[in-house]
Amino acid sequence: MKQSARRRIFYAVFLLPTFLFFCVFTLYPIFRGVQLSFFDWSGGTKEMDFIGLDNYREMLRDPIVGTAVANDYFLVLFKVIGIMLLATIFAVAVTRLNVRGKNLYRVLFFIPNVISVVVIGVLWRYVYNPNLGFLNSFLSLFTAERVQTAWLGEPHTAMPSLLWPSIWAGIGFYMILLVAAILSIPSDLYEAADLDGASQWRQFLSVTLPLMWEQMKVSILHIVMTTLNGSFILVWIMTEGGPDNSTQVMGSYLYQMGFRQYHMGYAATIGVLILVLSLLTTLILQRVLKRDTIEMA
Amino acid sequence: MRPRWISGDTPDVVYIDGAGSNERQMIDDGQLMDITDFLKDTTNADGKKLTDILISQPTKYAGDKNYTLPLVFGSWGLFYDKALFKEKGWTAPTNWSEFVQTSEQIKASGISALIHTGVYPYYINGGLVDSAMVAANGGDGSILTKQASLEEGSFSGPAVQKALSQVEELVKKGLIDPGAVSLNHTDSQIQWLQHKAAFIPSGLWLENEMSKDIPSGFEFGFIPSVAQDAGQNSIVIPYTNTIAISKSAKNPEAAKAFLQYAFTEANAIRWAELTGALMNVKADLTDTSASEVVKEAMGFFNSDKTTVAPVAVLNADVEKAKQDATIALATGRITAAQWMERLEAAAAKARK
Repeated sequence: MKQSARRRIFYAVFLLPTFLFFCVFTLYPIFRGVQLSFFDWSGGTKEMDFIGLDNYREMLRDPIVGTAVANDYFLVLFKVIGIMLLATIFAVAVTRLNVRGKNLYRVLFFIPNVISVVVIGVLWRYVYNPNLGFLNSFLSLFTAERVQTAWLGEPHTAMPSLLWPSIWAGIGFYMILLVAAILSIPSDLYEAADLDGASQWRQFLSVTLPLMWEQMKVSILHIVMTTLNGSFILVWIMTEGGPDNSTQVMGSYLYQMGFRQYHMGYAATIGVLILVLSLLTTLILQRVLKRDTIEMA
Repeated sequence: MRPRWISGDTPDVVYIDGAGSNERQMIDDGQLMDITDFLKDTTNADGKKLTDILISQPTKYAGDKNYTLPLVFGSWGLFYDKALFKEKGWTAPTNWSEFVQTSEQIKASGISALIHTGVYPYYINGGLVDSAMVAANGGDGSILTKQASLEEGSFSGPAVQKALSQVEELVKKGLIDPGAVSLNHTDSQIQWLQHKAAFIPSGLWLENEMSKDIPSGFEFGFIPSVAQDAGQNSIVIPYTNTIAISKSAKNPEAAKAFLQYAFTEANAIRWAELTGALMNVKADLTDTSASEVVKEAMGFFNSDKTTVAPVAVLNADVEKAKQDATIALATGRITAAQWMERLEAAAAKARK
């Protein structure tokens, strides 16, 4: 057998099964999801009615979809800011600054990542519990009367209250990513900067930041994608989209419509919306975040 | 189970309970057998006419058709701790003005009068709002059936108005626990068990559900409804879990025979003893080991001072709209008029 033919077989052995799995578990569900969005289907029968674009028209008129999209982007925006800011500070602190017990911090910050999101949701429900929770008990130390704020129950506090656990749970992973990036920067760059009299802050701006930009970009994109697709879990455990739909995100509304109100076709339409918005957001962000690659010669 | 229903490979008999199951939806989807004729004159294994021994009659769909048979029977209502009431000198209310009066006493003593499960507003609907609507309708439960069949105006009549204004009164007087809106069932029930609040709307399963967390000395008290005027009958809002035969059952005769076998008095007693819940069959539980609160409830069901409302299952979209509107009303964010407007709109949409 010729060399090139053997190489082709070698490729095929690795690529074909993967491609097959990709088709069955990714492409086919996406295709089915898009197809379902053109049907009126309760999700429990053999028969489905083809209704063309009616689900899409309905979606445009549905005020809860608007709330859900706004809530999703609220989470995206503030999670990116919150996580990236804190993860960067901590990553720099445990690598470049002389902080005592660096390794301990790395472990501590990573712990939320090993806890299941469900447990995180339940934990934070307790923190926010209006009568028995930690937060109100803590605040009550400073007030004459007991604080009884229902953090998850008031429209203007509910979404921010969902934000903190997501940030808290996200920091560790991205911190580890950025730590790895910083550690791969050659130390002579910092030595040279030191000799030139650059302050820590100057070193961060001119050496660290440009050289870990790629990892920051990946982190931001990853936060955006996982938020748009996965904010559902925390929301569902902590508020179920309530009260009165004020914390609904696209994923939770999809679940509500598909499995609670028996509009599987409409749920698929919301799924298509999530797909389109995730794709668009990632594409735009990739453009916006593009910087010239810095070669380390 | 769902894939089997989608593919048409269904079981013969289905017990409809738990998350994701809704009998109205199954009927709309054409999955349940019409058992109207079967129920008309069938007898159980003891030779008694089946419909004679039921506490709650099968729900009527599309006028007068039956597709389901209620197997588990229970009641929504308000629960309180008898021991706590005795200690504080509060009396269990039997009508609305007593309820408001007692609640204000409770509030003055420093704990919340009413806590509820805000994340799942169907608890306060079942335990307070629905019975208030029936009471305001002169004890006539047909208002719930009309709502379930989405009749125009059934969500905005004077009875609905009166019931909702009672909720508004509680909000205005600050008798609802401010934290309740964000609590799920276990959170709210735990706080009630710990005497952070005096009343909680729930169903008869409550004692069983919380059995591990009940403090010693706690005595479950049950009131089916509080919204009625003095002298009016109490209202029981029942909940049932039903059993039905699949339309594509392979052994429909065996399925029917199973129903005849299941609905006997002996089985009802055994059911109450084993589960602590009631089976939908009139049975004498006095000498059985069923729980006290279940026996107390049975006393209400048998009393002539009590009206048992029919079981009405709302369309899932209208049900969700009702829950959203109720929680908004119970937190003072919308008015009774807005509640009615929302529900009429949801019903109009579901009629299409």
